[in-house]
Amino acid sequence: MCMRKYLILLIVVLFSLSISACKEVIDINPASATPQLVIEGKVIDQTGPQVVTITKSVGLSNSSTFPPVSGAVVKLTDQYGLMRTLVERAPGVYSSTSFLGRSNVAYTLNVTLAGKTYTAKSIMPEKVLIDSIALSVQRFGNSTSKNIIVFYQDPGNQANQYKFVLSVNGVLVKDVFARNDQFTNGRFVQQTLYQDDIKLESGDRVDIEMQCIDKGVYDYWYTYTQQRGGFNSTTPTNPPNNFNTDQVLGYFSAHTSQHKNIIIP
Amino acid sequence: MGPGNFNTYNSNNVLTGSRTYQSGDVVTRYLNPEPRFSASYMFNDQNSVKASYNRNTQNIHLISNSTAASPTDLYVMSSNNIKPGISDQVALGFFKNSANNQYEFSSEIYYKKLQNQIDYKNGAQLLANQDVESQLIYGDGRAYGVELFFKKRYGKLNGWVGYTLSKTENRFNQVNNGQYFAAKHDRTHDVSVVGIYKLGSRWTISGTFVYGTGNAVTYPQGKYILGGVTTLYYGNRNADRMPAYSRLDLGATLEGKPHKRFHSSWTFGLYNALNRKNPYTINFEDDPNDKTRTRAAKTSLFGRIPSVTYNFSF
Repeated sequence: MCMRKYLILLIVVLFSLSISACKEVIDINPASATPQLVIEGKVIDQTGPQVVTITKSVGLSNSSTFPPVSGAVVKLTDQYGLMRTLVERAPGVYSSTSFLGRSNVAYTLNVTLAGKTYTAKSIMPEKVLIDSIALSVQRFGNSTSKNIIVFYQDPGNQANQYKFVLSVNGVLVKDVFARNDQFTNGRFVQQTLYQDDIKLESGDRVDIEMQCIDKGVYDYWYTYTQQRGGFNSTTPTNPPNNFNTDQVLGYFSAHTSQHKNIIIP
Repeated sequence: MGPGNFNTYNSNNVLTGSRTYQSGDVVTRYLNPEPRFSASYMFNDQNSVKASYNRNTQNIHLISNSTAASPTDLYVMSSNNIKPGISDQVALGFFKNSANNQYEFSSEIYYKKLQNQIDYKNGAQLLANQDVESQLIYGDGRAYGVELFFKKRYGKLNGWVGYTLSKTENRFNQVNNGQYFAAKHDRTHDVSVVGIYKLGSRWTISGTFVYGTGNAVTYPQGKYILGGVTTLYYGNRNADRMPAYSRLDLGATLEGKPHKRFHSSWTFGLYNALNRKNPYTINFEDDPNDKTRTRAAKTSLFGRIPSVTYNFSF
């Protein structure tokens, strides 16, 4: 009898030992690659300077401060041959004179640096507007999860790609939402933007940006989201940029942009 | 075999044709002989050598994802795009038994050539993709190594020790500039030790220790800023390693008192007795304490797990 008591105690002790925290921080230092050039260029449908940023990558163990790249020759050309040269107004930040990007116009970005030229082309799609914004509230036991829902009417006569960018009280949400209309062509779409980067609380001011992006830029962002884990992700790789060479990271995107705000009730 | 719509892709994953087949129509046919050859030579009662050649074909393919984040594996059948995998293996082994067959020793070397290997292309899109064949690339592979094995077959203490030194590599034109790279399951060192000890007439204790080089995975090799978010930069596919895997399992069996009509036994087990946290996945994330730093966090599944089994036979 006594023996059995000890046995049960032993089993209970061993069992509780086995249920311990299973996530921990470890020390891994993969080989550091040589710094890579990163070009991020945008043309949007709002009057203002259009901006191209050039930086370099750093090693994984470094601090996340990214050296700007100065001295590049940066040019934007539209499909009618109008060329604008961008001026470096801050280190690594090149901006154009003020102009308005237009839908259905192809823009070409040319960056020349150290004798090499990087070229990318992007066509600004037609603008699709946000119809309305709502909040999805889900309760699991005592915890509540709030997520933004965007409603919009997808045009049925074309393939559309969208990207949503959220920021909460001025802080950018890290999750990227790239969507297309493969399953929703021509529908009135209810798009819930699930994210767990910043938990939404009452009183938070959320800014929602809806971008209409072209196919190349969508592929870029879609692959990008696949790298961030999830059950259908593949072997990690750098997203396919839309430049003429894979010797550069980043993208060039001509897209429409619309912002809406809500305060979380 | 139909019915269905079959798409054909060229080596750049561009759709080159599509045809609808009726029920009973044959889309493609593969006929592969699988020749085998083996020979052995006995020097004497105790020593022998064996040599063999095998060709095997396989029509079910495992496409594996070597992300450190979440492994999703998929089985696919051979099709008009996916050719049957073919392996040619040659092996040469030396076998020795001694002390009345109480000890057994073997060493073997092998070389295997693999054809029609498949993998995902870089940046494959899998979610809601009904045609995974458009996301595949085709290449070849090779595997070679040495296996050493020692076994004590009977006695108060028995068990075995095995060690394998090997290399398994794949080659795809579209990945890592067409160079050979480590397959996910490439395991440079693989050790297993098993010991069973009879402790008196009723108790038997046993221990198993396994050790293996970690899976080949793709880790980030740098980071950059994109849209205000720190983004990881990836280098060559499968260029890095998960931490080595090791585990010690212990067991003890208590035989019931001999009985005429039935036989019973208790088995007590302890899985992962050293409670080693073998990683299941590794994620790279911003350090919450210092956002300018990146840290690696591993998730492990099983710590120490005890078990009790009661066997009863009649």
